[in-house]
Amino acid sequence: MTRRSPSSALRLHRELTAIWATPPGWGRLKAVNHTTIGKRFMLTALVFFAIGGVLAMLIRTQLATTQSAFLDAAAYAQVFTMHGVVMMFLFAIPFFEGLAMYLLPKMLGSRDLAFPRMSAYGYWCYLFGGTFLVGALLAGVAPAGGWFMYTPLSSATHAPGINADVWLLGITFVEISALSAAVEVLVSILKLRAPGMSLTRMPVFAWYMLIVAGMMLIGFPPLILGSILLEAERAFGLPFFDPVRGGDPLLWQHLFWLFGHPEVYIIFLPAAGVLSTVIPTLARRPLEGYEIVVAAVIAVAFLSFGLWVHHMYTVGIPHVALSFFSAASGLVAVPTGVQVFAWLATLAHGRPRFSVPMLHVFGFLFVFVLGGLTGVMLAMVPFDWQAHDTHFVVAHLHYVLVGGFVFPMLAAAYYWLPHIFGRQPVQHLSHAAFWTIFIGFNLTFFAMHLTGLRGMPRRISTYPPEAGWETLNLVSSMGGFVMTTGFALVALDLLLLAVFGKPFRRNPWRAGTLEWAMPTPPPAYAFASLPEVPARADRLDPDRLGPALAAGKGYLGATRHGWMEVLGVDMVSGRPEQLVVLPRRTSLPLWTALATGSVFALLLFKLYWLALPALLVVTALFLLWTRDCGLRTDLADLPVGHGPDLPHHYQSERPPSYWAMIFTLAADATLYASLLFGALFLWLSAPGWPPGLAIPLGAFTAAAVAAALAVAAVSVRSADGGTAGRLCVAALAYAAALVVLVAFLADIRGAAVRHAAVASVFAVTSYAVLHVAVGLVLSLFCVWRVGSGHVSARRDLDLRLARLWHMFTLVTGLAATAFPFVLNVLTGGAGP
Amino acid sequence: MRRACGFRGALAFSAALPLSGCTGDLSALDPAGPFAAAVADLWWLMLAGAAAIFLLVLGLFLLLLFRPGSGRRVSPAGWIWIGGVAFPLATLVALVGHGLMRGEYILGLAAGGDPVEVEARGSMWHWDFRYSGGARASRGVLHIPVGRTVVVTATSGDVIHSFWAPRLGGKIDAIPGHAATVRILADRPGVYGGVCSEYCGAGHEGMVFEVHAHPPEAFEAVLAGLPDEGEAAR
Amino acid sequence: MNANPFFGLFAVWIGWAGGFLLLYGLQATGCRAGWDGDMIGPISVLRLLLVAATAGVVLVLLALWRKAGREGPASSLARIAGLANGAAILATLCFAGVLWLRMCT
Ligand code: HEM
Ligand SMILES: [Cu+2]
Ligand SMILES: [Cu+2]
Repeated sequence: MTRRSPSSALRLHRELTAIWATPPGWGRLKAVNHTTIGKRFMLTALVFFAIGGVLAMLIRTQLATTQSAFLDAAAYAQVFTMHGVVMMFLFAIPFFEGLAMYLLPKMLGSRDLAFPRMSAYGYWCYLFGGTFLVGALLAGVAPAGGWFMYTPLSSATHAPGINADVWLLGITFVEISALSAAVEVLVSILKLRAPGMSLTRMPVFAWYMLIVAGMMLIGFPPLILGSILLEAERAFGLPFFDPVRGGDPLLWQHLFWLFGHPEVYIIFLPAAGVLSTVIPTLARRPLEGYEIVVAAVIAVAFLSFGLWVHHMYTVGIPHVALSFFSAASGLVAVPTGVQVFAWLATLAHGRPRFSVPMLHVFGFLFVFVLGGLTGVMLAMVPFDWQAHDTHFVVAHLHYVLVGGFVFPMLAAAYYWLPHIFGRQPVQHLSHAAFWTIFIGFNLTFFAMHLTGLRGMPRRISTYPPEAGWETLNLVSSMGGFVMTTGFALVALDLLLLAVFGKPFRRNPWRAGTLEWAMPTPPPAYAFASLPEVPARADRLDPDRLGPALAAGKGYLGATRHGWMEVLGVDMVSGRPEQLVVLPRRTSLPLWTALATGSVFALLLFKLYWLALPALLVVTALFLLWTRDCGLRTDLADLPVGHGPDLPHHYQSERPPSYWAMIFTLAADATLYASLLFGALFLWLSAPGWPPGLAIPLGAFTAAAVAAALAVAAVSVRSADGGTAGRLCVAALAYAAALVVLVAFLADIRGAAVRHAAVASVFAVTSYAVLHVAVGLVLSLFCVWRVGSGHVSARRDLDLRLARLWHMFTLVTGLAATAFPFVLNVLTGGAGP
Repeated sequence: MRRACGFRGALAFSAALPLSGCTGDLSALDPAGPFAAAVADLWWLMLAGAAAIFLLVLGLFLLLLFRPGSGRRVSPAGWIWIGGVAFPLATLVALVGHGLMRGEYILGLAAGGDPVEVEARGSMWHWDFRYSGGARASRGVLHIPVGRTVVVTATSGDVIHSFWAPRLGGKIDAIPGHAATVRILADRPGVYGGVCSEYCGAGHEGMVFEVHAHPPEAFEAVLAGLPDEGEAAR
Repeated sequence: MNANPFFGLFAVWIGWAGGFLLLYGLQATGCRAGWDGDMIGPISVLRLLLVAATAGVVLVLLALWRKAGREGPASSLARIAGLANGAAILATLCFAGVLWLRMCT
């Protein structure tokens, strides 16, 4: 590429801005840019944090004195439940998602995430879902069974109102946003990086987020499944959790905590990633032990899936089984220790400077280490028999969450706000604000350890004077108000920074990561041209790179056809392998999210016959997204500024959408596996088994469906003249399978409400119905794409994506048809 | 029945929170039997260890920050492998092993011969206790003999509750459809507090009970004086 | 390193997770079937099964470890994989309870 003069740098800036920027006014609703969406996520999450904080103050006001009459028990239940729900689902997860969206493309030397419209869709789902939950609180119909919603307290008998449905549907809606973010982050990190950035040259934050996104992919499906099953029990009487009809309340607990424990590490690890980025910069030395830290994060990720029963030590599980979970809970402290000592080693061998972010790092270490230590205590089975469900646990969980998330995020705020606003802090209030939060926090929660050990259960709204808990509670409540003052000071401080901070040129912290190699506040396109990365990407020199990239000297330093271009690289080596052209801004994500929201609203109000058409609208809207995707003619490879010409992603073997499909199916498979294991669990543990009624087998259904799915799967092969015809065969086969399956469902509906065994068959069959229906839609979609000229021998991506779905549907469908037979054998063969 | 908490307790907490002791009718730190004592001991042990580790880590951090260069003598790998791997691994293996041993002790000790079996049935929002297979019953008060292990089977007919008498032993959830057990043991006569410790609806906080521990002879007499199931529920 | 680098990174941990489920499932099934009451000498059938299964899991993990760590140059990715896999082997300590703890209470 030719050298450019500064004036051409300016021209490049103008051209790129025209292509990438979000237009003002109503055009903002079309935003898909990662910088914009990331900021929206974080800002919205902060609003929810404030709401959760107000609820916390209500709790503390209520508990300040004995026999308080401030809130009655029912109102208090809604308040503590919503406090937990808001903080976990509407603050912590969305906040780090927003941070990751904002930072990742910039740290990885790309211009945007892989699926910008998906980020926008995720944001709108989150906003609507969150608003819906908070609206329910204002209307006085918020969920009231605690943030983990144990059945039977949340089942239809004991919670007849819509409160529990609000939780189940609202949270599932928000989870959609989290899952789409997970897929997006995974694909973006693996595929959209700067040339030369191999996996092991990635900044360590990217490793953290890669692993966190993987955990979300596996961790969230069990909860989504649990929510669906519980909603099905509440709405249609399928008794998955009702012990009288072969269900088991413990199934809910397993599904919830299978999600719930990884969840706390999903919240902690991004914060640890922030620390692994901030501490080295402040210590003026690259992170020590990069490799062992990555290995430690992998270890945490896996171990965290082997801990869930430590929330269930008191349900009566045998000691040897508890020992697995107790030992894993203890062991998980080791990789955490590795990270802490890697940070200490970095400080030891660096030249640390004390600054406001470092103050918050201190806050983190102090609070988080205490929380970690009480966590190890709670992992000891006999100790937990005493401390479980007391205020000791409340103290522990806040030490971990506030220490392991809030303090690191405050450090992140002071570290990256200059990037977001292009201004440096004034620092008048920063220290006072920190100490107010720090002291307030410890006052509030340190006392709570003792309150709990002295016998105060959690989730009680009043306590008698004789209990002797009043002094401690008063201390906690006063501390709570001190802490709130501190957060108000931080808010003020950051506001002052945004308004009065002094502008700076570049890289105020002298960091070595790529996000500083761009103007601040960052332009929508992030990099005017993309860097080549010759070393680990936390040891670069942004001050030298920045001007060169702005002048268009890197990859893709020119515009063409108004395309939003980034590079797709080989996952491991970082060698460029395709030119990824991103879709343009659009308001479709907003409309699709609104339609999705209306499906949930209709379900909430039990208007099922309207929900079905609404679902069709959602499907149609999603199909509209594809109008912008793909090519109608075969393209030759395209120049990218340096190195060999690269194929357009639509013509490449493994474009981002291919991986997105793989990861989506992985999440889907996890959900299915949880369902099958759930049924096995019921067989093993639930009272009322074997069922007193026959398990419906439907041999004809099984054979017909198996045949149809096989036909569908084999008839979609590579693109040639007969493709459209074969696609129609597939569609017909799917339609046939759909009819047979729905007939089977109608047939067993009556028995399904009588026993959980049949209900499980019903659920597994419904899963197959859903997949067959999507397969049908995909086949017809492919017919359309062939007709509209998007498919050729070199452009067969749509067919290959659909093919992945067909294979998946074949395998899961076969398992679904076999399922009743297996269950029948297990239960002693009462079937017809 | 209130006993000042142990010497270690006084030591550890008098510095931090002079206003509050460890006593109280529901205090797990004021054990009235070997099971609760085994856990209270474990707590003091872990508290001492945790305090030491906390001071160590924070001390190192502050040292490195305010005396830059003081940590250079140890190589980065040394920091990580010693501080981050070897030390926590050794400590945790020992602690987990110890914790499991205490668990086995609590699950195994049969003081005073064959354990007494009782059923604790939680309902919204009170506790019913059944003795000798339902021949005797009481509501809100559980009678036990002193010096003899009592196995409490927790059941529920509505939602999940949790049986907890902190000074006598750990808690157990009363889950509809299940019957799990917890072992409690009092080593002196007295009246001990108990609460429901799993959130069970608006009446949760009022779902309290008492455990009356009687000398063995008196226990038989008290039991004989109790009504049967049907009557107790009235 | 193996053809798929992610296999090298995660193989032993995935094995560990599978082993975990296997042992937990076996224990629950055994208690339901009453195998803890069937004794072979002083040891219950269930304990024998669990110990054997644990040993099997450890062996499989060791085999996976060798397979994942065999080929390829000593790249940074291979070192990360080595550390992660080693940690997974160490994590089989979680199952030590099968040797001495109460099986079904
Ligand atoms: C702003 C300061 C905060 C205060 C004063 C506070 C206070 C409390 C209190 C007193 C409870 C116990 C309620 C009860 O058991 O009756 C509680 C529960 C809880 N808090 Fe906080 N909290 C704060 C911040 C947070 C944060 C930042 C998070 C998470 C990121 C969080 C997550 C939770 C959860 C999950 C529960 C359990 C709710 C339940 O029992 O269902 N809290 N909080
Ligand atoms: Cu947990
Ligand atoms: Cu209760």
